[in-house]
Amino acid sequence: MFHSIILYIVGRFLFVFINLAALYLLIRGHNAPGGGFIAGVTTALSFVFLTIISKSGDIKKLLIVDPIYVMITGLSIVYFLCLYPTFGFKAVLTHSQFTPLLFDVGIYMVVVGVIGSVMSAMIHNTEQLP
Amino acid sequence: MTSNLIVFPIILPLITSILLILCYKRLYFRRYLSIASLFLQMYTIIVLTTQVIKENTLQVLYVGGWDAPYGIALTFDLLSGIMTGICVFLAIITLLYGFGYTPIKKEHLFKLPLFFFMIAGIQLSFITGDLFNLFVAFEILLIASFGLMSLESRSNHKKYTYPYVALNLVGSFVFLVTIAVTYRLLGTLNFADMGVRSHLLTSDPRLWVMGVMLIFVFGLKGAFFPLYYWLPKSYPILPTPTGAFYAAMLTKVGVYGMIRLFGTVLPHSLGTLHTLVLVLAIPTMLLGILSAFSKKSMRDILCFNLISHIGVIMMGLGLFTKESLTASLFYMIHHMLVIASLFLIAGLIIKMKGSDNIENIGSLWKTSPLLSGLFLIQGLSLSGLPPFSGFWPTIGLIREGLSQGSYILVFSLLASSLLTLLSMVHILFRGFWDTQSPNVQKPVPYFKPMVGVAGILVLVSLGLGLYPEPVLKLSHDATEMVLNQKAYQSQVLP
Amino acid sequence: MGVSLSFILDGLSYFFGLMITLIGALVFLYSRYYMTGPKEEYGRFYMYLLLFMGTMLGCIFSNNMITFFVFWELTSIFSFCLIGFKYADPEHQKSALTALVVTIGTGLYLLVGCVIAGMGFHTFQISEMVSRYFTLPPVWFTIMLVCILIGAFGKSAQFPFHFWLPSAMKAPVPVSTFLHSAAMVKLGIYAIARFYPILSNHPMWAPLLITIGTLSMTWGAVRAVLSHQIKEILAYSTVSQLGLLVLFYGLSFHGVSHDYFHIANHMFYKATLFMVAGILITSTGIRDIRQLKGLRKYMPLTAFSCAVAAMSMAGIPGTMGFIAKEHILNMFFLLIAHQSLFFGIGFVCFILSSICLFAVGCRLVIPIFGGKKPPSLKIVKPRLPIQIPAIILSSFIAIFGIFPSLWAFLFSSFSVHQLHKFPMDTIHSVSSFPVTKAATIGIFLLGYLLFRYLENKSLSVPAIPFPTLPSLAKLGSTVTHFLRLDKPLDYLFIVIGFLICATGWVSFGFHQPLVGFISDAIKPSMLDIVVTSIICLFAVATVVVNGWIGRLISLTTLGFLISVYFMLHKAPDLALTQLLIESVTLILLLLLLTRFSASTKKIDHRLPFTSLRHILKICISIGAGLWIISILIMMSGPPASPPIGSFFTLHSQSLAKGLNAVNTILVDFRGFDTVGEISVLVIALLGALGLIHRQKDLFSRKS
Repeated sequence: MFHSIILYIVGRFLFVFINLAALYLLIRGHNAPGGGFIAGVTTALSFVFLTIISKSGDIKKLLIVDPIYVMITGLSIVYFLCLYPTFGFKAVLTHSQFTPLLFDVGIYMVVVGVIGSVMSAMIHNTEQLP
Repeated sequence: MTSNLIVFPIILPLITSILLILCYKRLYFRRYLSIASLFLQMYTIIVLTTQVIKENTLQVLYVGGWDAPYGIALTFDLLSGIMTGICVFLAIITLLYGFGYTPIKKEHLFKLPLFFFMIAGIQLSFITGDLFNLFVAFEILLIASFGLMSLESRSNHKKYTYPYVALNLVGSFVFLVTIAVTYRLLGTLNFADMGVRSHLLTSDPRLWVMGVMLIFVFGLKGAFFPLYYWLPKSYPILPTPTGAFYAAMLTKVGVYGMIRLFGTVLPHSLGTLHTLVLVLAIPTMLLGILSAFSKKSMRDILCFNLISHIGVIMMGLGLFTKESLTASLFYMIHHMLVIASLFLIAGLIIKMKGSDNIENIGSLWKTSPLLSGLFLIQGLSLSGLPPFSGFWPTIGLIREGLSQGSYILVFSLLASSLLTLLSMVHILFRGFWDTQSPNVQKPVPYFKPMVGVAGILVLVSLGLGLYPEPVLKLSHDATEMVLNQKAYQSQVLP
Repeated sequence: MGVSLSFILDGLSYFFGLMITLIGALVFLYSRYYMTGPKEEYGRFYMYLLLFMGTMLGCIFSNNMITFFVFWELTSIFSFCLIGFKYADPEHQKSALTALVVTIGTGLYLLVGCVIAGMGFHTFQISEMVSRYFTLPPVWFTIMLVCILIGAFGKSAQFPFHFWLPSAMKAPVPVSTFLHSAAMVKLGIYAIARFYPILSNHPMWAPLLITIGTLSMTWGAVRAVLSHQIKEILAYSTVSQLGLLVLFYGLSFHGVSHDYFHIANHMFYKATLFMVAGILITSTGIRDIRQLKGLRKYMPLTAFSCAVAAMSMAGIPGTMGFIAKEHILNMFFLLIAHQSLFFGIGFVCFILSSICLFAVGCRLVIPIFGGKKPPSLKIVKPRLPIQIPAIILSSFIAIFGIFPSLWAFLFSSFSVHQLHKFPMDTIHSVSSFPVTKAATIGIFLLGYLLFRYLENKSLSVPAIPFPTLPSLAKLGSTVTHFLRLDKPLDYLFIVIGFLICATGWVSFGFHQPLVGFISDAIKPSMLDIVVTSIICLFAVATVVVNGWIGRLISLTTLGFLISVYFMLHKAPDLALTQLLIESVTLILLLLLLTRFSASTKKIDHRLPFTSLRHILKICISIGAGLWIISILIMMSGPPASPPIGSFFTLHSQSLAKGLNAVNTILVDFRGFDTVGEISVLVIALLGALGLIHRQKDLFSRKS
């Protein structure tokens, strides 16, 4: 899109940096401002950024997996966490030691997957337009 | 723990839809899977309902183990049992019918997942005992139904989804404001806790305003009088199986919300709100049905009929006695079955004649007596004529209306019943009795089991009419349970 | 609900059951020879007819008011099917519809009556009602009476519901014979007789029955004289005769006597005449009696039965009709002793209608069968079997007319306690009053003169318009248009307007001024005021600025400022979320819209307040704004109960092992909401992808 080699190189570093920040937000979410949703949107922002600086508009080519699978994995984690306590005869969605973080990770993945898919779909479908 | 079972009617469709997305390649497997999941869901609902009936108390699940009012409480009483049960039953029927209606190759990949998400939303709204959770349920329902609607409608009809989503978003916004208002006013969002706290406030107009806002929210979902504008244009653009499900279930979610609100949550002494519903019931009953006569397409006519019958349910709601609520509930059950089957019949006609415009079809009386019979039964049933299922609640409503001196309401009820009959006769004349109009396509052979599926639905509603006693008792017990606020509160609040 | 299938077996129901099965059997025989057409139509016809007879008997024998009503409405439905038997013809459809609307519509009144009866007597069992007290206020009894009578009048084609019956004559002749002379229209009479013990004590009972009965009797008779279509004549004379029966029940104050005789008389002669009419129609194809002449040679048996039946209608000695007429005249003369104007008018009308019916009787026999057949008239000789049922019925008329004691012998045991007079006086063939004889002779003379007078005249009466489906459709489109259902852009006004009005209505009776709530709730800091005023500025800018980029930017700035507001009120999580969401939305929208820039230039540049719609929009927007402000003010008072929120801030660490209360609420306390909202995200994505992509692109786009 707005192709410039400097922007591209700087952008790559920035991409990593933003994602590290997102990871930080995700992990500390339970105790300080942050959490799965915020982290997810941050990561998604980094994708947007990447899309803008990269040559091709389609971020699917830049990513290893289709965002839709990320989304499905996240959703599955969340639903699994819902049902998991029933095996231990506890109420649905009862949390234990690490499950809140896992829940946040699920949310994170869903948000990333959704925004990523929407973005890629939008760009893919408007490429041919003037 | 048995109470965990409550979450299954919600979580099963959610998981099913993930699986349906994942196995997008195995078309036949997807269909088997969806039906199997629905049957499993039905099983859990039956288990839960029998438990409710046996113990005569509602089942409660505190999600996450957090007691009410702090966490989210899911409550399953007889009303939830009835509504969820009918929802799954109709889902099975319309899905099976839809499998015959749409060729497997043409079925959109996301149709089934979205359908299941929608079911999850519907079931959640029937089961939840928390206002914000109900909002979430409505969101799931709205977005899923909108998605499904835009996927399934033809491209030249997509613009008609706009009123649907626009008005429902207004509703969502108001709902959100209402939740804020409720929290500010009562300091809680749990139904039981709201009930306890609002008892102190019966003469406070702030509570009334909150009630009116909730009526607006549920009324918008349930297509009450000035709020039904989204309905008549949006349902007919759906393919009939989906349309049947929408027509039967979606408005009833709003009506269910009203019953829950009036019965379980708000104090029973808020006469002003009941009067508001009664006042709205009259134009809903009459104007809806009058508009039906200006339409030519069978599904359009049915949609306007649907609005009118929401008015009938509102009447029972507004009269607010045990008997009138029982009648309303029975009417709702009857109406869900009948309107769905009429939509399915319209679908069969579309398959046979290529259109459901009643001016363009005709002579069905001669060519397909079975279909005509099914239509006649359901048409009469819809108008509340004996001995079909609509008749029994009508008696109850007349009785309650008279004993409360609401003559205008009783008159409107009877007038809407007569007008419904006329609009059914209108379809009968043009679509069934008239000679075939020249601009109709050649009859298409259709998938025979579809008639069977529609027939099952008709038989069920016929049975409901001829032997109403068990369902009448069921709806009576359900009403009793809904109205027993003390029991509800002591069950939910530890 | 107190609804059960219980049956009542007394003289009244036995009598009606007997008559209906008798005439039904004859009609079944008759239709075998009358109906022509394909075999499947045959089957359909008999199916309807049998179903009708079944429901008819069900109605007559049911003891429960609700079951009674169920069968009552079912007879209307099958009558609808039978009238519309030739379904493709729009005329037939119209008459079927008229009959359906009138009978079902009045039936709904009956339902109301039944429900009131159930409420008042605490039972739906008709047999128990007689012995119980009506517990509701007396006005309810009046309403119940009127409702039940309206139902009965509708079914029996009484004034002002009489018009459905002549139009129902489009049905095949056997249907008219059975439903519209003998069975279904008698159901109203049956209802009157059945509810006589319960209702007749009410002061409204007699005046209502007498008024309606007199009106229908007279109007029907006059119309019958003036009509020319044979079935129409019969239909109007049926209206007249049913009116007479209604009048008869109204006149019988202290128990009824010989009502069976009147009913049977009418059933026999009317069914005969209808059968004769059917024979005439099948053999000549003509319905207008002015064109029929000199038929006696071709169908002597039919001529005989027609003559007997017509004599009975006219009331000539030797038939049942004569005795019936004498009986009623006697009743009148006994009542006139009361010197009430009411009875006087009734009497005059009775004489008038008797004269008319005499003329009708003459018209049905003398011109049709007498005289010479014009050569242009083509006749197919009717077969013998089709004529037999009419002969059987007409012989009944003659037998019971000549030997009324035989009738008394057969049917005296059918009388019902509380309905009939005891002991019942015997029916005499020759009246005891000399005045009666004089009156009878007068009727004969005047009737014959009327017949002669009308013989060469052709008068016609304009038909009464009845609302039909097209007119309803017109009304429907008016309503639709008025509600602007077809203009989807107007709905927001209506919906938001409703919200404002409804909340306003509820808080209208609110005595405390709203302002009272503001008092100490809002204490904004300086910073708050600055931020909010900038927010307002951008809100206005969003509307005022031209061009979508400007609007988008100001909208996003608005969002950012709201996050500042969140920050001010110590909600960093909300602020962060708001900030991020605004950025993502802005970037995505920009990405998307820049590509559509060519097509998004069209923006409304018209000045505000130029069109009514614009003004309306502004009004509604301001209204919505005011609404939410007033809601906020109203709710900003002290909360009624302590909010549960403090629980979360207090216990988020101890219970949910997290310091961030917002996150513990989202993940733990109310995690289920989050599950739902996450699903909403996914659903929205699925919907969007489904719209954007075609099917095959959905999963395989790694090109």
